[in-house]
Amino acid sequence: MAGFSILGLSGPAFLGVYAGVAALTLLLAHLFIRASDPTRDLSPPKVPSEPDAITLAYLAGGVGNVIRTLLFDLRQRGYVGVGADKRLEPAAGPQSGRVLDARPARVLAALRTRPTPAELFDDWTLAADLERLCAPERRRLVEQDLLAPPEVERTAQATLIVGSAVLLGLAGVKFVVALSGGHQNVIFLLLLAAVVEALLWGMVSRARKRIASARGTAYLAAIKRAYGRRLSERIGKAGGSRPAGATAFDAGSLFLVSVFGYEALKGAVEPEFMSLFKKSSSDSSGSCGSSSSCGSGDSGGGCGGCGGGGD
Amino acid sequence: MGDAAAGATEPMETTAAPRAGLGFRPQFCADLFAAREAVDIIEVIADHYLDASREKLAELDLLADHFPVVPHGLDLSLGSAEGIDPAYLRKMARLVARLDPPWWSEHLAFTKAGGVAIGHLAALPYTREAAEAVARNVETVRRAIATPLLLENPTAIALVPGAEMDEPAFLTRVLELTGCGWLCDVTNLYTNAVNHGGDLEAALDRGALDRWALDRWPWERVVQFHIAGGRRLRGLLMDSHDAPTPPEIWALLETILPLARNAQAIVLERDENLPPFGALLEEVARARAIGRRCR
Repeated sequence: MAGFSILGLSGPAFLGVYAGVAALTLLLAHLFIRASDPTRDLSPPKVPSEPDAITLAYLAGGVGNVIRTLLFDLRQRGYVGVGADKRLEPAAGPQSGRVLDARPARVLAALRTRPTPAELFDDWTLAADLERLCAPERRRLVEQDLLAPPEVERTAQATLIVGSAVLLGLAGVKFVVALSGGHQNVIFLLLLAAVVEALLWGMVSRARKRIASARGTAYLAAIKRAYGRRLSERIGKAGGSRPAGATAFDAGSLFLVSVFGYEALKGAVEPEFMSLFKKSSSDSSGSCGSSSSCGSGDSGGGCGGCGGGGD
Repeated sequence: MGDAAAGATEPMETTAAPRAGLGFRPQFCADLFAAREAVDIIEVIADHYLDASREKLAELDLLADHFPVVPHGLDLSLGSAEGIDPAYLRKMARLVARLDPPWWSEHLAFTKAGGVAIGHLAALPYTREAAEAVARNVETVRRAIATPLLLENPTAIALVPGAEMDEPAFLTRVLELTGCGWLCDVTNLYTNAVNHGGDLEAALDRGALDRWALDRWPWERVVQFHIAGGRRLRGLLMDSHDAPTPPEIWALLETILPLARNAQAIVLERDENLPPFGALLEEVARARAIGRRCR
C-alpha cells in the first residue's frame, strides 16, 4: 500500500472516488452554510394579528417582492393600466383624490416610461429608491433576526472557494496526470467536475441571495399556515366580474400577495395582468417579474437580480 | 385508585376568572389568528390529530405556539367494559405529550362495545359496575398519560334501563373513584334534563332554578365548561353544535359558575352552520364576561 495514490487509480475507479469526494464536499458545504445562520434554533416570532404587507414582502423576496406587491395593489386600485403592446402604464386611478404614499407613488412614477414587467424589475433606480424607503421595515426585521445575517454570505463565499479548490484541484491534477500518461479519455472527468462545480455554485448562489434568515423563513411559513385559508377566500371574492378599482386584497389582505406571491393568484385574479408576468418569466431576462423566481416566499430564495435586499 | 392517583385533578380553588375560548375548526383558522387577543384558550379535537399528516401536525404546533391548547378526545371509550384500546391510547399519549396541555378531556361514555365501534358517544348505565369500569380504564389511561384528565358529561338519547342511581349521583361517583376533574357541558346538562323529565326547563321557565337540585352535582370538580347551541328534532333537544348558544344555556352557566370555584375555562363548541367569526367571538366575549362577573 506504500505506493498507493488516488491519482494512480484507473479512470473508472478514480471517477468513483471523485464522485464520493464531490458528494462529501457538497454535503459539507450545505452543512457549513446551514450552521452559519445563528437564528436556526430560534423560534419564530408570534404570527401578527395585522400583518404588514410591505414588511412581509421585503422579508419574502426583498425589494423585488415589494415592487411586485405594490404593483398588484396599484393595479387592483385602478392606477395601473396595460397597453395594447403589453406594456405597463399609469391609469387614472380611483376618483377619490387620495394621495398615494411614497412607495406606491414611486412605483407609479416608474410606469411613466411604459416599461415591460421585465424592464420595471430591472430598473435599478427604482430598486434603490424603494430600498431606501423600506429602511424602517428592514431595521425592524434585522432587530428580530429575521433577515439572513452577513455570516451566511461570508460562509457561502468561503465554502465556494474551498469547495471549488477541492473539486477543481483534484480534477485538474488528475487531468494533467492522465494527459501526461498519454490517456486522452478524460471527458467524463471533465463533465463530472463541471456538474458538481455547478451544483456547488448553485447552492452557494442561493445562500448568498437569501433574504430571510432561518428564523425569518420559519416566520413566513407560520404566517402562510395561519392565513392560508384567507387567501382562498380573497381569491373567491376577487373572482367573477367586479368593478374596476374594487380591492379584494385590501389593506388588511395585501400581505397575502406578499407572502404567497403572484403564483398563488394566477388563473384566479386579474388573469390578463398576471399573464404579463407569466410571459416575462419565460423571457431570458431573468426578470423578477417572474413569479416563479420570487413569489414562493418561504423558500427564502429572494430575488437577487432586482436590487432585492439580500444582506 | 382515585384521589391520590397521579394526574388526578384535585379541587384547587382559584380566584382568577375562567379563560374563554372556543373549539378550533380549520375553517376559521385565519380569523382566529387575526383576533388572537380575543381568545384565551383553544380546544382541539384530539382525534383529528392522532394519525395526522405533517401539515396537520404543523397546524397544531402553530396553534400551540400561540394559544393554550387543550385536546378533547372522542373515541377513547372510557366506559367500555373490555378496557382501553392500547394503540389508541398510545397515540393519545403522544399527542398530549406534544401539546403539554394543563389538562385534556374525554367523554364519560363508550364508543366501542365487544370490540365493535358503535359510531357515536353512548351514555353509560348509571350503575356501580359501570362507574368501576370507568375507574379501571382511567387508571390504565393514567399509566400512559400523567396530564390531568377531565371527564365530560355526555347527552343521553335514551336512559339505559337498570340504573341504580341518577345522573348527578353517577357522575359524582365516577369523579370520586377516578379523581378526575369535570368538563361540565352545560348544554348536555340542559339537554338531558329537558329530554328526560323537563324539570330543569320548567324550573328555568319559572325562574326557580334553585329548585333544580343544584346541590347534587359535584360543581367543585368542574375545571372546564362547554357551551353550545343545538336544535330540536322530533321533540328532543339535540346537542348538535350548529346554533348560537341559547338564552337558557347562558342562564344556566351564570347560575352554575359561582358554584364552580375551580373552573378555569369556558369553551364554546360550534361545528356546523358556522356563522361569521365575529359572532363566535361575541359568544366568547359573553362567556368571559359571565366568568368575570361570577368569580
